[in-house]
Amino acid sequence: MSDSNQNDPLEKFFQKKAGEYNISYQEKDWRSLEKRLDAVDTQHAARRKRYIAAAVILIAFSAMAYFTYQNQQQIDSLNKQLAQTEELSNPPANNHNRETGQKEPGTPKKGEEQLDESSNISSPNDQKVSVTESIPGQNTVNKKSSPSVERSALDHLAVNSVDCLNCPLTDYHMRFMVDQSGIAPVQLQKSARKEATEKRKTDITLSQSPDLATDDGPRASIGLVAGPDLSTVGGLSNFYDPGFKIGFTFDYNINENFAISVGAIRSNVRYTAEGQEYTPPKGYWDYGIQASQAYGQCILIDIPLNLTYRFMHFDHSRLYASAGMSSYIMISEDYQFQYATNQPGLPRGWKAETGTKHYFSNASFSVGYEVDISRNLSIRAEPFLRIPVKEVGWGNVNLFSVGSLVSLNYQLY
Amino acid sequence: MIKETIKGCRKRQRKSQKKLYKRFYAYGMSITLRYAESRDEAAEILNDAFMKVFTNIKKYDTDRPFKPWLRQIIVNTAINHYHKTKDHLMVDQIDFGDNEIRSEEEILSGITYDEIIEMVQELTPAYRTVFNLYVIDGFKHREIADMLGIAVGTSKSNLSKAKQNLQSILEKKFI
Repeated sequence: MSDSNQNDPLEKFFQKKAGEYNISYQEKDWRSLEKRLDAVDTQHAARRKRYIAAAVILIAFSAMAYFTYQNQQQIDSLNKQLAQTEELSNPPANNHNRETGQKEPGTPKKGEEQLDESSNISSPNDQKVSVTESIPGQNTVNKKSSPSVERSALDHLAVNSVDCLNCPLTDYHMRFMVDQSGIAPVQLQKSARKEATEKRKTDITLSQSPDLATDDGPRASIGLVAGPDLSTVGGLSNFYDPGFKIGFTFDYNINENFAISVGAIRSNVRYTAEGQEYTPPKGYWDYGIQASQAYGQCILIDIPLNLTYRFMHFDHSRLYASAGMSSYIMISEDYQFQYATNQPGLPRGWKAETGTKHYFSNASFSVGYEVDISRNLSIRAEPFLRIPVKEVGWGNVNLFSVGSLVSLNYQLY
Repeated sequence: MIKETIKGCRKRQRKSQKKLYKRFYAYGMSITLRYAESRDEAAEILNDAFMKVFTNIKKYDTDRPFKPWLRQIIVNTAINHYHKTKDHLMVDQIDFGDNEIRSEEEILSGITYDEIIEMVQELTPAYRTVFNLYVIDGFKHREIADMLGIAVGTSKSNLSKAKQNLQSILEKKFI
């Protein structure tokens, strides 16, 4: 409380009179305030729309990725069944049943030769033994434990190597072979067979299916990343000058589809902030006047920690999506201030090498496309979005960033 | 009832915002008129203060009285405004003399609120601000010094001169 002189009549007089106000309300003052409130509400609405749009895009993208993954799984499943079917028609070279057996009626000779060379498929009784040995764990008649099919055998039976386009098998023949092998019957229709054959032509082969490729796929990789960065404060608009990112990333593959990545990326961030979005430490605005605009240029280390999901695999490329958190370590901060009125003596700027750390300050989202350029090298293009979770920097700003990173990746092992 | 209004303000309902504004308009103007040089300037300061109120309404603790919170925002806004304008007006400091402070109770009691405001507005911004903060709003000299970025001695000196000037104005106009 004030240490005023309680006996000072002048003070007592003014204190008393200050409470005897009788001020009439003026609507024009409210209208002036209302305009400002409308402007703020418009900004809020625009920001909300942007967030909703981003959420819708994310959900749509996730749904698309999910359905694409499901389709891919179905394709892989069909390929496997097709491969097994092909194996029945063309068993591996080390199969001991090479006798031509009893032919099924209606089986053309040309196709028979190809089949009979590898297995006695046409003879059901003999077939059971050979099929048991060639198809793992299938036949209930033969109790022998079935040797697992060697991967080399499967390679031998890779769909592309069997020219079943020329194989005049009838549907009936196919169903018979499948039934005898003990595999759950595949009701192959002509159209389905043709479709499976067409799919083989598109280079999605067994040797490149996810399950088989995992054994030979790289476990980790390092990458050199670089790309432009557009940053802003308060929302995804009003960008200033573009900055730049350059650094390294390390990826560890959990399996063919998932990977964890971490990185250290030096970022040159440039942004502009309105007065109310920029909050330096308490007491800085000693003169009581807040800057109307602040321009920031910061050097920071962006440490992303992401989970990557590869949702579409092609022959030598793949599509992926990443999400995670980024931590920022501020290396240097340089701010320039502008004021509504030209006041001498006001701070025009502030800069320092702060070194402050902001752990998990931003959520990170990206999608990307990776292309293998050699056995161990690949290139990625990855647009990204960073959304603030916490305020960062000396100005305590909510920093949004968008950009695109291009990286050269080397498979380690 | 005010809690319902504040609840509406938190949802950015214009109706609630206007209701709150109208309810505390006179109170707010009674503060800003003392810090401003004119009624328009006082309205501008008041609107700046209410913008801060509506922007930060979610930070307000509804279990505490609203008026002191509002008052603090208005006073801080007035000081910010003072800092914006003080350099322009530094040359306008007028010293009304070194008269002794005397009591003229009979004359003083007849003076209206509006006349008081006019007298206070005749002071220079520096004197007026220190006088308001100390005499009316109850801040200590150390607090005033921190808020205005001046020395404690300067605050005391400005208060003394403000009182002298007000005394002179009183004598000129009413005595």
